[in-house]
Amino acid sequence: MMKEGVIITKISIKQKGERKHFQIKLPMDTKFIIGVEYGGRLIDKPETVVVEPAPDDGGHTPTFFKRNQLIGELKLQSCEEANWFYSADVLANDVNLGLADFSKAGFPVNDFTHGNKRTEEIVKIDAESTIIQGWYLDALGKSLNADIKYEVNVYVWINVEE
Amino acid sequence: MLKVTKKRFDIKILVANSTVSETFELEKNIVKVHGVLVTSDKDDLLYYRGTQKIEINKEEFFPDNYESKLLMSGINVSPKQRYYDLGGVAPGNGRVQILYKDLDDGRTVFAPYRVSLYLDCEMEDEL
Amino acid sequence: MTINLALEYIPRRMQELGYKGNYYIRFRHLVLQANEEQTIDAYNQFYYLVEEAQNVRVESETGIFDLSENTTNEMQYEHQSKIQIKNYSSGINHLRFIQVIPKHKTIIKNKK
Repeated sequence: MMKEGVIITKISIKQKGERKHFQIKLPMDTKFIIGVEYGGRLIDKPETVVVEPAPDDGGHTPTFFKRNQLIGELKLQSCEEANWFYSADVLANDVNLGLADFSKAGFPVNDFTHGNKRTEEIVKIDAESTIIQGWYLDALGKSLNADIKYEVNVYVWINVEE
Repeated sequence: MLKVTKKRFDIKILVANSTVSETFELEKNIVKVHGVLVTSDKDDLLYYRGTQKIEINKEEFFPDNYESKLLMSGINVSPKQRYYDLGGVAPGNGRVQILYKDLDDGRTVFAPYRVSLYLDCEMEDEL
Repeated sequence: MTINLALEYIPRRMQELGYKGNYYIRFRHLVLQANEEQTIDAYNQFYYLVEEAQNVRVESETGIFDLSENTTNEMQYEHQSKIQIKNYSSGINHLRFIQVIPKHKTIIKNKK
């Protein structure tokens, strides 16, 4: 009987442009890695970090496509295969959820109301790999030219045979 | 060929009334865990002040607040009978977690002490 | 331990322990901040200390490596289980290891 579980790895970033190498140990009874997703949180006070664009979109038309703030780049590699099996741009939120919304309904748009349900990315990696190498590169601190403290959580979904 | 072996894991209790949680990993070739036992370099502190939760492969064998005195064996116990028999547990991911709580009891004076968790295991001799 | 010695030593050691060729090998170069203390989970793995290691303490179940420690008669280069690393220097310090990871495949099939 197969059971699913998740391994949570916390990557702590303190400096701008910081590169963090990390390893994720797979439990002994893991059969496969079946999915990967990420999350994160800001540790520094939000006032010191301007990540969210102002609610008033500065007079732009609703069809103006805005740039999302890139937090960092995340890559994962297994010991069995060359190259990365997972590579992601870590984004805080999607600022284009209100794109082409002419309704002016007065309903503020954000990830919780208009965003898609977040699910993990499906992968299939043999747990024979034993450990997973990971690499994270900060982009947020670098773009704002400041040492910003935040955490990125990497969720590795595994299946385990009972 | 199956062999019997004992594993020991130590934790240090440095602060009175603190909770110390540690996770250890068994070797890959351990196929069964038969028994557990706790000891200390300051038995009286362990006896009067200690409680612990013990989990193996995320399965709870002893809940929070299970007194350490119930897992200690004195020298009057036959050596072969000192371990608490769990009945042969599969190690699964091999992770053993102990969550130890130290509490004032009014009779003992706290000093930093070591608590050791012993596991009676069966291991595969050849890989 | 020099890297050359480690590379000769590791295959024979793994053979000794019964892992044969079923392991991965990684070179790790850790950068330690001033006075940083770190714990590495090296259960079911081996970390071999290579190259120079000054002003640092590496302690594990198998022994201690600390050039300022005088209560031991031997320094340990092969570390396992929980490894505690302490940087004594008040500046950045570097620590190099060869990490040997026995594959999960070496789990016995009749484990159940």
